[in-house]
Amino acid sequence: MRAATTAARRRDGAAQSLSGRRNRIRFAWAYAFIFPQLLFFLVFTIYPIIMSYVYAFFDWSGFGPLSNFVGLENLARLMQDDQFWNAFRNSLVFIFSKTVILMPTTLLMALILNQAFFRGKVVYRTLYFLPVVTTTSIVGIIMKFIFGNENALFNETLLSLGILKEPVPWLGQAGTAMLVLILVGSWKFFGMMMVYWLAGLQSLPGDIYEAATVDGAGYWQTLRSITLPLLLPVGTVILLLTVVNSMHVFDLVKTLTNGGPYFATETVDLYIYNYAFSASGFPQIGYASAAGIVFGLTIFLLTAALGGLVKLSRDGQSAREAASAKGGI
Amino acid sequence: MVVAFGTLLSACSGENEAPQRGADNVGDPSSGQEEVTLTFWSRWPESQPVFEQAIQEFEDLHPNIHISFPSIASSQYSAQLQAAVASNDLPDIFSNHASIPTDQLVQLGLIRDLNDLFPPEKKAAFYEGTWTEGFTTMDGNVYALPHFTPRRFANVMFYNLDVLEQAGLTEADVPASWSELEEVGGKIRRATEGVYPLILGIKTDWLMNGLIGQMGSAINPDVLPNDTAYSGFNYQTGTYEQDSAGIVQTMEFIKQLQEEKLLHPNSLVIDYREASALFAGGQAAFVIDGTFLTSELQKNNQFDRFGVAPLPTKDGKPQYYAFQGETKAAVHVSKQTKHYEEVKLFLSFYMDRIYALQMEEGIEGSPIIAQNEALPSDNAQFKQAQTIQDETFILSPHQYSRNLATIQVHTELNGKKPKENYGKILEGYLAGQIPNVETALGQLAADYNAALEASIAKVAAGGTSVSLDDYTFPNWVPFEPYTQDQYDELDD
Repeated sequence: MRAATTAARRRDGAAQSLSGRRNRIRFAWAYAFIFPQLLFFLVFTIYPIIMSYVYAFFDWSGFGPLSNFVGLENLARLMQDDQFWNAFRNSLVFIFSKTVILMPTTLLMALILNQAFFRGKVVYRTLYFLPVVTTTSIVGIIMKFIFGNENALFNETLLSLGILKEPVPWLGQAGTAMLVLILVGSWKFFGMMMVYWLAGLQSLPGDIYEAATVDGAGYWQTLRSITLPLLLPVGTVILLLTVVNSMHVFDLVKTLTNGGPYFATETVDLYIYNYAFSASGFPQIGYASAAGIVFGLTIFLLTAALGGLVKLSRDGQSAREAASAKGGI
Repeated sequence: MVVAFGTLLSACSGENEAPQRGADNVGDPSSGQEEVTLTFWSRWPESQPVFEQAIQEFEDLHPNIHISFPSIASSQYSAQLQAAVASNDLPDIFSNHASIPTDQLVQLGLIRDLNDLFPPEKKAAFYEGTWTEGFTTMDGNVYALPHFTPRRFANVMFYNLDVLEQAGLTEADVPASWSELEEVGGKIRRATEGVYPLILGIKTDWLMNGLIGQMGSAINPDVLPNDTAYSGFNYQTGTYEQDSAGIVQTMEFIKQLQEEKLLHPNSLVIDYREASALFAGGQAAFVIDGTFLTSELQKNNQFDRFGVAPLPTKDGKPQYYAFQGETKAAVHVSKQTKHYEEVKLFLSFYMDRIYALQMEEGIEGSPIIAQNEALPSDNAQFKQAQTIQDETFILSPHQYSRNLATIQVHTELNGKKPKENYGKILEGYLAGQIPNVETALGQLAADYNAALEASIAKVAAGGTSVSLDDYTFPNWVPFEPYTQDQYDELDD
């Protein structure tokens, strides 16, 4: 009996040991697979973020040792720089305008392209998506020619239609330059957002629509009472993605307006670039890092607020689903 | 068969071949058989074809030395150099860049001196002002080999002969004064369809800074005209005076051209390359640009129907560009190079062949006086541009030559100086964002003076002997070359 128990224990022990060894091997493999990504993450994400905070406390041109510690001087200078706040305001105007333009228009287009009876959907989706896959800097250069003053496509079209009497310097006036930038930026991201909405629409449960049809609900009623409420969590995620995307407009601004005329379209990322890679004079990496930190923190706060919104809308939907399930029982 | 195959292989391989050497290869390190690769980074696209040809010739002369010459976009050069410095991986030979001046490279121990390439008699062959402290030399040691003539580039006016012809005008009608430009401009507008008299690439700040300063120098010659950090500085009084009458009136004149529709409306939204392309395409009769545009028009735009004239000024009076010894285009040698003997060989070849090729191709004048005087080029526009450039460049004082500690002030000033410049203010003025240009320039001058004073105070606080007096040259007479004797006179 004791021998049998001992044998059983040994078998259990051997099995446990085997299982433990297998687990260790599995963990070892897991870590082995994770390690390269972790390494890249540490080197290319964590390290630059930490170093940008370090640089912000130094007067450093990017060359030579980090020896000139200036404490909060860069930050103080930044806070007093009108050009920085001008760039900050421009970034916010761009983010806000692009979001306001894109959220409803892309939803509308997605609703249209999601209709079963609509023919040629794939062609339209591809057409709207084309700008998304086009290189932004090339878009900027081409748009600069389209919105030029003399012998430029946009002005020539308006002139030939009799809408304008003489060419308008679209990129040569502060207000119109920002308007063109916002419109081009919105056009470039339109297809992407439309696809997000389409994905959201196609993930909605079909049985609810069937039930609504049986109950005699019309298109508008279905849209107002089913589609839009169900799309809310997806909508908040799309809002978050749009805002985050709109914060990074460097390549478009650089090629389309280069921040002009007279800083009217200079955004924070271009402001940072101009200090970090000065074409004339020395680069000011320390100062540029301070600007990057302030802008980065703003992005973080904005993203956190929108993330909270996403969570709220999801919680709301879960609560509605729970209530509806209870009612069904 | 194996022997035959081996023989065939060795015949195909270049490695065992005896190098084809010219007579100048006596004592040549390439006479050893060691294969050497030198890396060379350049940031001058206009010199690209010359470099390619010269490198080929050099490698033919020295088969065991290979020059690796990667193509680098000039707009990305600063970032690339920055990365190379950070990783201590500089190429053997590399172009200079304003973002990391000679003094910093020397301080960081990144470049080696080239004294053995430049004995006194060799140095004497170069233009006066070439060997200026803080630019090509530090403490008397040479650290840079000039690439172009240091007397570059002057801003000049290019005229399109086809457009002049269309308007019934000739080269004799090319304006020398502002009123002539308006008069000729009016004729061009009336005689042609959609062609403008003048086009400018206003998005290119450094070009605008240079041309506004130069035009303004005909009115206020004591306000320094160039495109450095001291543009707008008055070396007689030791203060920035960007709001001088010369600068204000020049900007007002350009605004007037815009209002009279004599300035191409695209000027406000384009850079200098786009402006010159439109000029070559016949959309404007005149474009103001650096002398380097000559070769760009001929080679890139395949356009030869143009001439070069000095900038028109208010009353047709002369203008100038203040040359302060800043050799803007030069090459350095990395201290890390393992093949200095081969580098020297290449740099000697550089001075003989690359300088000459650039002259022949009409790209830029040589830094060596004798080569320029021989002027082998039969390129009429190049000669025209070089002659004007030579007359326009006038050696002017620089604080580095008086007190080398002012380099530290310059470094400090870089972080404190305003972001605006003539180019940006002109852009704002033409776009209607700046209603009063005099006020804006006054603010610019006040900000620059405050930044300079703060920079001097900070450096002086560290125990360095430097003051605003180092920036004051009462014996400077604009339009007259500033000599070493005048520096000495001040020290006495």
